[in-house]
Amino acid sequence: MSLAVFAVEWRIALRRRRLMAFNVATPVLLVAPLALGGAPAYHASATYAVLFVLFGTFGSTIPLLREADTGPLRRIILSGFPEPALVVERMIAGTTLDFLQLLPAMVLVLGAGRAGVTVWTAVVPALFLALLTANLVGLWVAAFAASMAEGALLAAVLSLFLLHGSGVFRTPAPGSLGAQIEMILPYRPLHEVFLAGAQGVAPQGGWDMLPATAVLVLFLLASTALSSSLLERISATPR
Amino acid sequence: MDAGTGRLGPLILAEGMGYRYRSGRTGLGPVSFSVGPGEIVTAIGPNGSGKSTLLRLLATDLRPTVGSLSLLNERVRGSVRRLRPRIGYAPDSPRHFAHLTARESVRFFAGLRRSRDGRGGACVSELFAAFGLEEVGDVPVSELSFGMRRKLLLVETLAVRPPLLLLDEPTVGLDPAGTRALEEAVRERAAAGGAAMIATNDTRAASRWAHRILFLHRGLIAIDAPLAELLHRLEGKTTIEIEIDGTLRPDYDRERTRSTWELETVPGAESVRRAVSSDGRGEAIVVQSTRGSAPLPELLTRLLTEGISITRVRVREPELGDLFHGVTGEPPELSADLPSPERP
Repeated sequence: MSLAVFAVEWRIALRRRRLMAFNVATPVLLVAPLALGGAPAYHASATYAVLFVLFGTFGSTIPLLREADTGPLRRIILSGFPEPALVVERMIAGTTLDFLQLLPAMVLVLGAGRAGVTVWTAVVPALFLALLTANLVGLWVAAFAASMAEGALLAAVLSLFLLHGSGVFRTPAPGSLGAQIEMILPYRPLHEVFLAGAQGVAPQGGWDMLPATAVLVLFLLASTALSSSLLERISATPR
Repeated sequence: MDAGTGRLGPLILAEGMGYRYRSGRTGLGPVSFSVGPGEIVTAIGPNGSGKSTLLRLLATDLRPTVGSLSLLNERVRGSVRRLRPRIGYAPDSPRHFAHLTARESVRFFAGLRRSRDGRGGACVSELFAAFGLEEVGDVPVSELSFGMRRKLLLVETLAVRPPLLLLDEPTVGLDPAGTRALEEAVRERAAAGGAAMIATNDTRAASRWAHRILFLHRGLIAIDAPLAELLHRLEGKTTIEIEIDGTLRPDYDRERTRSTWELETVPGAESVRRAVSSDGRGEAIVVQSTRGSAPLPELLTRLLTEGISITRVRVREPELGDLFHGVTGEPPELSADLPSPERP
């Protein structure tokens, strides 16, 4: 893997300093009233999860559609650069950038909730898991969106459904289908960390990340296997 | 033979190739032609004639909906990832990451191909100098003018020395130095055994560098002939344009013109027609001459005798652009000399 696409994504992100500052400040400003204002843990954690997941999904969908419209994405594909590598490099670049941009907000949330060591150690993989999933969801949304506005709408709707399935908005009855789905969705660990962090307690048992990680790996493999079709759909004109 | 072209044989071979858009509109074809090593072929034709569609097909940006296509001795079907690094395609509009500098952009786009192909790429600084981009190497692409971005796109395309060059309207926005640099680079590629297909309506540039002309009209190949042969066909077709002060009286229609002034009876004057003057405000009389500018004195005498005030006279030798008139039928001076488009 040449990492050319990964490197250029980072280079562009670092060059756009105003956007970078905006992407760091906005989540901090959004979570600050909740984290510092004593919002109920359950409501606060749901809000955090929605914010972080939408941040990752939009951050993947919108640039993909913009680059499809302005042309460089098509040029990369026509250069013969392997599509699976393009997807993987792009997703990893997007995830790591999102991670660093959301880190200050995450620190504020967990710091204000006086989270224990177990929460702090769990937050890194949980956040990475959620953001990589969100970036992949963003890729698929871009493939099925005909415009940027449609992409934003689809990303929001799909993310809210997945967050709902992850138990962010309700707790499914134990043993139900909903509970089983919740166990495997990669947004669940992030919500659990937020909940524990906001309550200032250790994460509850049963939030083992393995099922969610396995699902994410399958999702990543499917996305790379179908990378050619997905990127063709995104970059072809007319879309 | 260049290392990148593989064994000898046509680098482009299209057989009954066509493309139909999803709407059902035919974008191209069916067309059949081949381009061999060392050839520079220029596709010309009116807007919408299928030039860009042809180049997109050759760049594997589109897939033929009918017929077959072979590039660099490989049939285009299934995955084309292996082929793509060896095709240098510059689309009709520059497409870049706006926040990279010019040098970073070249490094990135040229690097993508180089990393797959392992060849070439040592000529970036020479190309920067030739295209006059040295001073803007560290300037973000977003701050470059259209012409500079166009040059940058060409440098990115040429930097890896691809065996097959596909350039869509490459001279649009280029200054003379840029056009010259492009011309040299294309010739150098052809001399190394590569091939170039250039879509353009810059017939002067095409006349300078093309070995062969593909004239497209309504998605079909109307003419596929060596440049020298086409220019030979056009020989002896001098155009004399006489612009007049104001407009002719309404009754001076074509028949009337012919009968009143009998301009067509002037020796060497083959056809006479009326046109809009170069400034768009008056009228002009356009005479097709088979004897160069020889009929001019007699033509002027007859017009002046009629009391018509002449503001400008221009004698134009035949050029490739005259093919447009011949093929598209407006005006019809050359249509008798040229074949009809091939039919499916």
